Amino acid sequence: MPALIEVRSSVVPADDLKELSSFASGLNEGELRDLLLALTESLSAGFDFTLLDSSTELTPQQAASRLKMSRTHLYKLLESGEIPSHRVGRDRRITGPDLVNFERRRQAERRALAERFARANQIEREAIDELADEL
Amino acid sequence: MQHDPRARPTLAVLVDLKNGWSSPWPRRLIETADWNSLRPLAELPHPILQKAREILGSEPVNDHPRGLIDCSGELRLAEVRSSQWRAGIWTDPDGVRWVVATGLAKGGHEDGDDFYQALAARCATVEGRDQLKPRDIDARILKTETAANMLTRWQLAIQRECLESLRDCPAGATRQRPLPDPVTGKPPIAVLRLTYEIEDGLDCFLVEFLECRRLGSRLHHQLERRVLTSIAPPAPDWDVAGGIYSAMEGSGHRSAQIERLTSVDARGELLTTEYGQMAHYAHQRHIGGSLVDGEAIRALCGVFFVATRNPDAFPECPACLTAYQELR
Repeated sequence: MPALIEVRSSVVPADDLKELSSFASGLNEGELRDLLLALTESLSAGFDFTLLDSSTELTPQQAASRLKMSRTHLYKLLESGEIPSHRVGRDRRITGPDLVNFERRRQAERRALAERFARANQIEREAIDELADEL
Repeated sequence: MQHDPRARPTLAVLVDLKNGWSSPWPRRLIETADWNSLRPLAELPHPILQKAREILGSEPVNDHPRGLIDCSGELRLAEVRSSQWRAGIWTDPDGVRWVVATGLAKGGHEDGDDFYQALAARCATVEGRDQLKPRDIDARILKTETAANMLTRWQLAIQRECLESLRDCPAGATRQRPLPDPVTGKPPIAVLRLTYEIEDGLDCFLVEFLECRRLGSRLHHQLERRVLTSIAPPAPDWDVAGGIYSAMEGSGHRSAQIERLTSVDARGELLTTEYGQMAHYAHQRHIGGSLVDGEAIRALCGVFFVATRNPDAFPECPACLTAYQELR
């Protein structure tokens, strides 16, 4: 089984969610039923999920590859402690949960950057106003 | 930075200046009060305004002394003529020259339409004279024009710093340099830290802004875009995480970019930010919000973008296409 499984709500067909939800409702009460119902509800509401084995650990190379990130960038973040890690010999390991948390923050930063790029003209006008205020 | 010294009209003058324009577009903008599109006000195509800025131009030291219009009294308006057109120029306490009155010299007309008659009537009272002077909005427009020029000069300086940074930074190194503030005399707006590595044969760049003085302001965002564009112009190439920006470009990008920057710098031009050249797949649910509110959405291939353009004009993103086909 792969270290991390990503489930994005935008690609899950609504019909499949309904079916899974009905199926789950028919299960015995317990953690599995709760998990499946919570999953289908959240996916319907538009939330994305990442499933991982709690003991999952990745090397920096695996993490960079999975996140589609520059290794140089990732190593810098490990060194600064922005991404928590622990040492195994000379190398480091990143836990699944820490990686998922980081990825969530990264997505938020990337989204904000994309929005700023798209608003370039408006931002330039506002920057001019900021400067004009100082004159 | 000094204001543009050329004589410029007040908005009151523009609103009343109905005839004689060399071109129809200024009148349309004046009628809709679209002052932003009219800027710079010292470059409008009307013979009397053109003459005013010729006479009272970019080098005030070289201006010939002008005759004053008698009836303007204490305002001491300098007179400018262009065939039948007349203008009165007022110099404010900061030395800015304003065209505060314009009209046609009709010599001996009884309907009071003559420039001098109308001006005399207005200058007869204190209120009349004060009303001719520029208002807050005129001062604001002037400041905006000056600020726009300052912003361009500043970005050219930033672009130059990025060029030097790239030149100074060999593979496997990190270099830091201060970036100037747009206002002269202020301490640097930030310190640029550039890292250049070759990773799997690709040119990889990391950008960090340290000691930011105007964090979160629009000037900071402008700085962000200018630096990123200078290192790698395509906006979608930039990743950001933990406050560090990174871009992976093809082999040889650094030298090619140094050449590009050298060439635009020599021409005094700014590099344009390049936007995505592909049509992406994203969930229907999110596209509406992006079109209306400008929210960035995540494509199937993972890239974040704001839906602003008609996707039919672009080739489909191959990564999105593959991901979409895997769903079926």
